[in-house]
Amino acid sequence: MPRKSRQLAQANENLRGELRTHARRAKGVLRFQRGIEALPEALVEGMPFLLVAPAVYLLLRIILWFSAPIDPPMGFGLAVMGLLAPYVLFVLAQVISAACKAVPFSAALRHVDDQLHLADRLQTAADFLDRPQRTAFMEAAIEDASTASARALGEPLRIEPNVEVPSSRAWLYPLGGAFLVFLGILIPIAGTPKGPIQVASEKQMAGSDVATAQDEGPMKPVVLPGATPKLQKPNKSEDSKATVGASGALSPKDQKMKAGSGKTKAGKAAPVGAPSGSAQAKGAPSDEGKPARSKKLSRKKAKPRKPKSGQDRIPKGKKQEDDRQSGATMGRGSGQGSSKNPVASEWSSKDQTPQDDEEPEDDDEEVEDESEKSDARGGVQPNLRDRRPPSSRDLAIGFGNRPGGDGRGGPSQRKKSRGTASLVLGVPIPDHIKGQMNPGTTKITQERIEPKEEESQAIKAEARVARRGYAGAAQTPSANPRLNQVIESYFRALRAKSEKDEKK
Amino acid sequence: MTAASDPSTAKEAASKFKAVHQKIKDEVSRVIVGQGDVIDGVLTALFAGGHVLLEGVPGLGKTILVRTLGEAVDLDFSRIQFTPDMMPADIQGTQILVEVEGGGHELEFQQGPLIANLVLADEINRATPKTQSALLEAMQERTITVGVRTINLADPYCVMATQNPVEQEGTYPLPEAQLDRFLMKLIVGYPEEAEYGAILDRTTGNEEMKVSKVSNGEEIMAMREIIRGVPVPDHVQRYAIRLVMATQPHSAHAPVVVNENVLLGSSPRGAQGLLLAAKVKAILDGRFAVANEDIVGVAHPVLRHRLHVNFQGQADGIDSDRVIDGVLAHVRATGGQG
Repeated sequence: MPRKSRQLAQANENLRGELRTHARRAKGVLRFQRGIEALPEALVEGMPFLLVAPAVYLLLRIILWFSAPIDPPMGFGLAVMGLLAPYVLFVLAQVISAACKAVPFSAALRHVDDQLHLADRLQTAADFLDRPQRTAFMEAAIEDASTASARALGEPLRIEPNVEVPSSRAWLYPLGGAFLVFLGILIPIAGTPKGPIQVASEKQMAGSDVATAQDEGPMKPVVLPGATPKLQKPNKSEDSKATVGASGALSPKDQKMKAGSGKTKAGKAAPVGAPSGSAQAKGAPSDEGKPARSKKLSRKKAKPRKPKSGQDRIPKGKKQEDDRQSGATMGRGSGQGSSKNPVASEWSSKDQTPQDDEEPEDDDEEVEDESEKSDARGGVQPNLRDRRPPSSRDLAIGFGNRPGGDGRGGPSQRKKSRGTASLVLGVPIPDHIKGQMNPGTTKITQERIEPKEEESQAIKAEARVARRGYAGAAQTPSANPRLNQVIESYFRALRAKSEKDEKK
Repeated sequence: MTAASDPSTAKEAASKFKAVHQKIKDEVSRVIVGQGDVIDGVLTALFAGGHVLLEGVPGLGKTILVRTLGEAVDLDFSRIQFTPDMMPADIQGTQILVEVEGGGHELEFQQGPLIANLVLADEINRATPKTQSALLEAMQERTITVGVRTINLADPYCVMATQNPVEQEGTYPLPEAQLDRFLMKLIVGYPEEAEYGAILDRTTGNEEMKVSKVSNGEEIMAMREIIRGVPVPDHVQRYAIRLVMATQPHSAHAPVVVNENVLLGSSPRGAQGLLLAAKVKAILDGRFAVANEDIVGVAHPVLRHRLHVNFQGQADGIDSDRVIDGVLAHVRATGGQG
């Protein structure tokens, strides 16, 4: 027996050594694994460095901008080198600190157990080996673990890092940083607040002006019948470009252009020869004439006018003809079939300018009276202005739809009204005959008041005490007298017995 | 070192246990086709000394499984068909007047079907909570008190209840106190396609399957002793505790899925159940101590009826099994497995 126990002790000691070896191997793997696992988090956590440093860089560039211009490519290269350094250092520090964290013995054994599918045998053995008292099952478990441990020593441990890229908005930091760096690079090129740089830019601007003028030179006024006012846009942009390019000071050509463009923009086409002239030439309304006209037309459509007099009542065909003559095609284009000359004439230009005498026309507008309308149809018609949806035919009283939800329907809306007109058209027709009221004896009045909640004090809850007094003999009609006697004697005996026990 | 700590005795005990388990399983499998997990679960509850609740749609052989087990093991078997009009006295027993020789009458206790070794409580959720409560004392204390009389139930004592998940009409859900007393809740599913042929052959032919008694009460008790002797390492015990605590809303280890969807978590009985069932699993897997994977293996049947999903969880279609999955993942992710 002592020999056997010695053998067991030796086996246990061997197992301890093996467990330590397993733990050492697992610790190395776990440290490396933790370092890899810490990398994404460190990369994300260090992102602010990528924003702070570019901000500093931008600040420096601004300061340098005011002092002396620097070479942008040189500055960019230096900036990238300098800015990445703190970020890289931070990430390295995080990874190394994660890898250097202590790995507990049990955690290392657990890693081996999990990876080699040993069903916690090594952890269990380590636990049981430290116990002073061991049962047969514990010894069996240790023996089982020693077999598994010996087998596991030959198997390599894999590095299986659980890399999870943290979902964070920190990725915006490098973008912001890149943007700041970009801004920093742009500074010497974009702005020139100081003397020499400003002169250079003015020269540049002048050159660009010349270039614009040269570009504009070969352009000729194009008058196309199918051209649309869309062609006006490039002209406008060119105008604006020219204005911006000279930074407020207009070139003589531009000044001429500005002088030429009046209210009607009629004179615009000739000097500049821009496509806008072509748009006007085919009879399209000018920008100024258009909104006023269209507004007026829409108003005319909305309100029915009262025909004032015979001269105001213009035949429809004639009015359309007038419209055509005025060139107000309203986007219909010349393809509408107008027989008029599409080239802008003095008459049409004159027509497009707002005329003062047209305004009072709106003021005189009146809505037709309903009575007049009725007269026109002949006979008395129901007042359609008070038209409303047909009254409800639902005769059921309301439940719960009233305030309080107490099931009291209360007075509901009108249920019935007479006549087809009422049902179909929804025109209210009074449900009574004009005349004197029947002087009856009975008068029924219905109170049309919403039911209100009564105010009363709630009754307080009280504890109900059990009856203490005599409640009377319990009736047992089913039991016969003999059975009653038996039951009574049984309970008497039982009570006597319990009293006797209590006395004891 | 004493003789008891000789590893060979543990190995012998473990192999004996496996042999007994296997022979009972084989005998039950002569009648029941497939459902290996359910049979294992029922036997686990029997050997661990717990009660089992079988849930499944009608016609899946829940009742026949328990009846066959009662026949395979030489135990006093009784079946109670729960009905809404059943009273506690109907299952516990009552005192009746009997005529004695030589004239006269006396009250005699007529024991109910609850007094047996293996009780099949068929469609337990059809009885009223009053009647269901009559089982509480029997299941936990292994005693029945009627009037002034207290009856100790004979070991082994095991209640195997069945309930139907679809028949909500006329059923009463089991109270939490009673659900907690079941060691496991097993879900009986539909058989596989390959199993249908065998089921039809066995049930529609002339041959009647006879189940022989392959074990008895003493043997079951001896197996229970073996199971109780299986050691639990510290890290496994910690894991079981953390799992149970993680099912309790707003506890230190509770994950978000529990805090949001669980009304009532597992009681300490859940941890006891985890370890007892895991011990059986460890021995059946050829190990001499419980491992974390045993706990994981029995977590669903042991914990699913102890978790009560709240209204929000029910509305989101979350059941207790999903919560347990979340708990297992959370405890593993937080390094709670040792």
